[in-house]
Amino acid sequence: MELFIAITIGILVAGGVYRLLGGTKVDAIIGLIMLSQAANLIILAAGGLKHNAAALLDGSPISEYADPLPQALVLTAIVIGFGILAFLITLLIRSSK
Amino acid sequence: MTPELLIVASLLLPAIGAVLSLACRGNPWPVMLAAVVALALAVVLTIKTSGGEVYAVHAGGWAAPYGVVLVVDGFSALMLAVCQLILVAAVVFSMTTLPAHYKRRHLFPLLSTLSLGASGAFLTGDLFNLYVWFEVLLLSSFAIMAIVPGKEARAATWRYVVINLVASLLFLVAAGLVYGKTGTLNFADLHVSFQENRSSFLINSSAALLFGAFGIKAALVPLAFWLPKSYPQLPPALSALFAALLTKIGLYALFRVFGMVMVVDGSFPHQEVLFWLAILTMVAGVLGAVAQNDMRRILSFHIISQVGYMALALALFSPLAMAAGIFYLVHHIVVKGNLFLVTGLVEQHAGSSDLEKVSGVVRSSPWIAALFAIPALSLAGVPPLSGFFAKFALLKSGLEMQDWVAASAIVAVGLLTIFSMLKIWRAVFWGEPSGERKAPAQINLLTSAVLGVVTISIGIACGQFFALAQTAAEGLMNPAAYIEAVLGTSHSVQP
Repeated sequence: MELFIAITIGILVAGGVYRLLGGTKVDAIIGLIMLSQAANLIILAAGGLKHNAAALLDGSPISEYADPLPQALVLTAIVIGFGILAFLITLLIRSSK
Repeated sequence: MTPELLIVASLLLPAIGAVLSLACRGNPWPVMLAAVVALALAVVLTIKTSGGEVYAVHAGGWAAPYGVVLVVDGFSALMLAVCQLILVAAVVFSMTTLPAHYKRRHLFPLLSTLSLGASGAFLTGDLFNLYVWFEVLLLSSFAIMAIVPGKEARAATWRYVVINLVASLLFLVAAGLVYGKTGTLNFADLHVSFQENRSSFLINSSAALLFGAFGIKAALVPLAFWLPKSYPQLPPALSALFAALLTKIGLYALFRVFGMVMVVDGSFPHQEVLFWLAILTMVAGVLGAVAQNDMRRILSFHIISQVGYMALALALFSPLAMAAGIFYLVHHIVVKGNLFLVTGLVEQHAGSSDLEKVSGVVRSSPWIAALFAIPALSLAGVPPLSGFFAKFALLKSGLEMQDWVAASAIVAVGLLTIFSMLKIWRAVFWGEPSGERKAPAQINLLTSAVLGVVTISIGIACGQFFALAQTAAEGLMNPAAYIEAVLGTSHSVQP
């Protein structure tokens, strides 16, 4: 699982940087989206991946929890990234007028 | 009011100001009022923390490494106070010098959210919240830049947005990795855990990412080229605020994270790299300034050069150098903000800030000339003014550490700074006045004069201000009080 996530992150970063340097504004936006997805995956993977584990379970031993904090961080990052994406697209539309 | 209440209030005030201003169709007065009150609160906080006290608010009553903390120490209180001061001045200038277009596009609520992001960044006690506050700050600044009309301004906005988003992503990844490796994001807890397992593996990779992120935001040289392309597009009232707030928050984050959180055994990761980049930044910035022909551009390049001085203070990392760096930050925010505001006065007065189009301002308006001379001489480091003491303290710490490269760079770059200020003085202020001249608004002259008086009084009462900076530096280099305020007494660090 870790290997799969790591390869995905690698592909996303490589593709993101490639598009970011592509030159047009749409390229830059797509590149930034890919990079921010990669960042989200990195945070999730850095917190430790667990198969089929809930974030909080009553009464079960601590080793069975999935760490809830990276999930909260990623959620925050996704929301912020979404807001920024909306702003970027607005900026793109306004500047092409 | 208890200090805890003051912390919460200084965070809530800009938010309330923004909402009220938005409710009143972008009216500037709520923003102004909130900024003035927040300034007063920040001054009170500065006085309360002047003995090295640290106060923390544990949001929701959650114990420290798990909950969100807001912390104020000497450093953050000082930064809060100067930033609110510049915000007040910038709001005054925005009200009087900017066309109605800006107000229609809701400039003033955005100024208030910008200040909210800045206050949050100064007060937060953990790495991820620092990221969130940076985003608040950045989105407000993006929106403000997008208001500026014109094709060049739009291109500049785009550049500014993309480079800053890349920096934010680096920051986000670094925060995630730090959490993965240490299991905490709280500054105090991170410091403790770095002390306990002194493995460089834990710090170095995340530190490199953070270095890139803060380096872009603070405009250290290989990462600074977005700044002179975007700042001159802003009208001076706004570039004063951007110059004073945005790059300085990058520096604040460098000081806080590298100068406090990541310090192990009296040094922090990538200190050597920071040293050489700081020297490069100082030299490249001032050479860029010498080559320019517009007041806005010259001043933008000076931001870079001065950022180099402050980064150098951090890289030297002796108690005197750190105090000098913090003193420099405070002095620089006031002086740089004021220089941009005076540029605004010149533009209002003579219609342009191009060195080749404007001349003879001394004859047509000696007041503007005097108001320019104070911050310009202070920036260059002429004795009774604040810049002299900042540079002197930094030079002294460089000499004490027998670091001849740093010492000679400080002196040489200082001379070139004087040279480029003389260039502005000779072209814009001397000579025969040409063209029509309009008298600038009285209130703007007064605002700029108040900032000038602050510069002079920092110079005259240098002892008191330097003592504040020393306390702040002491709090960064020996964060026992910080850790105790955040984590409680049980966590004491072995030296």
